[in-house]
Amino acid sequence: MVQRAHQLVEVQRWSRAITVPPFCDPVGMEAESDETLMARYAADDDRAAFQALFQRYAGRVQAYFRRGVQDDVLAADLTQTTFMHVHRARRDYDRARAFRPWLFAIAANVRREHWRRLSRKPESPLEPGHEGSVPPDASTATDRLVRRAVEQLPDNQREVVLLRWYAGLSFPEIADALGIQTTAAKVRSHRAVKALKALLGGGDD
Amino acid sequence: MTEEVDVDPRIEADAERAAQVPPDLWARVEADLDRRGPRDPLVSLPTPVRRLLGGAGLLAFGVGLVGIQGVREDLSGGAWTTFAVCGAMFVLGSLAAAAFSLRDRASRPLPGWPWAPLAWSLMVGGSAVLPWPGMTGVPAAMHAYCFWATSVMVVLSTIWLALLERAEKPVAWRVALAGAGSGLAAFVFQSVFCPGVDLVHLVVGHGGAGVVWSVLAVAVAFGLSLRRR
Repeated sequence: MVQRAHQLVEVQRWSRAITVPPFCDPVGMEAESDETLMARYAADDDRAAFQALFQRYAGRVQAYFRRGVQDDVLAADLTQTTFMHVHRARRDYDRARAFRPWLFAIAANVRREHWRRLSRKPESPLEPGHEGSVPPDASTATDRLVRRAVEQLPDNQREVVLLRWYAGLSFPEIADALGIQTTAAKVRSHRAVKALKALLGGGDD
Repeated sequence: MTEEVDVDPRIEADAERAAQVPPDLWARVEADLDRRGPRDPLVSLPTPVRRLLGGAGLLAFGVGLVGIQGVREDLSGGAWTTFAVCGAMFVLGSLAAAAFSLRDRASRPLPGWPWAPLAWSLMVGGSAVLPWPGMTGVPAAMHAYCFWATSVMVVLSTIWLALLERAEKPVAWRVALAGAGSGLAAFVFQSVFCPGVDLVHLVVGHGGAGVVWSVLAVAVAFGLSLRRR
């Protein structure tokens, strides 16, 4: 009950911060917790349960990748890959573990594998001025500044920033997803915020 | 350093935009779900079961290799014990490598440093247990025979482990571990048949196949992994 209330608060807080695609769980799934839905998918291959989880989290996973790889098309591909890994790993899911850190642990590994592959490619898409396939209306000077600032963070800080502000995880969830201590996640976040403030000009517009 | 840190509004706005999902993404995921491949039953098994099957496959291919070629006859009781202890060490190492190659994607990332002592201990262990009990003066023709016999096991075992791996595209470090595990196991099982302990013979005939095929498998994995969806 307490966990459910916590989730609702988290969802409300997140929804205020970020306009994810509208919540449109299949009928009858609205009240189900993530863990219940995932357990149902693992046990019965219930497609509706998986779709509900997709609709709840595809936006957050997409946001995590979008600023992690700076390419919209690639971010969508990696989001798709992540949900396919969730599908394949469904029998590994332990209901005792919260769903969100489990999902983002998979996403983080997908991102790492992507970077390992990319580092062996001769060309890098992150050259200065690269905008990926961002829609033109979103490519304002401010957007570019934010993207560059996030890009310039050391990887361990950027990971926490992406999970905290783009994926909307709490610090204990970030710690669980990355296999680090909660304090370590907070320290990285604190350092990242300081660096971002400096890069973005003190946080004022 | 409080839990709730004020985030720059520009980052909030950026996050808001970044969370917009392409409208056809669920349809793409669903199409992938419906496109069930022949590997689906295997990769959908829980990770402990996949690991068990991977290890069992490795041992089965080894036993098959020995079954086809026969068991060497030069060892007596004490020498067999020495050989069995040494071999078991290598086989355990190969099973560990196979298990690591089938790691679950939701597992926490491993730090890099344990790999160095692991490789080191394997080297020290190897140098401590070798030379195995056996005969020297192996004719050169045997090098090629043993190389191809070992190759059969390495290739089959690596393919078997790759079939159990969940990624659509091969991941180089997983393929490398699968190849190393297969090579290590093949090294031991080939020695159950072949009594040769000349250094050149062990390196070329028993160990070379593992190295050659693993390197080739990793090269192929690199190539395939670079191809975009």
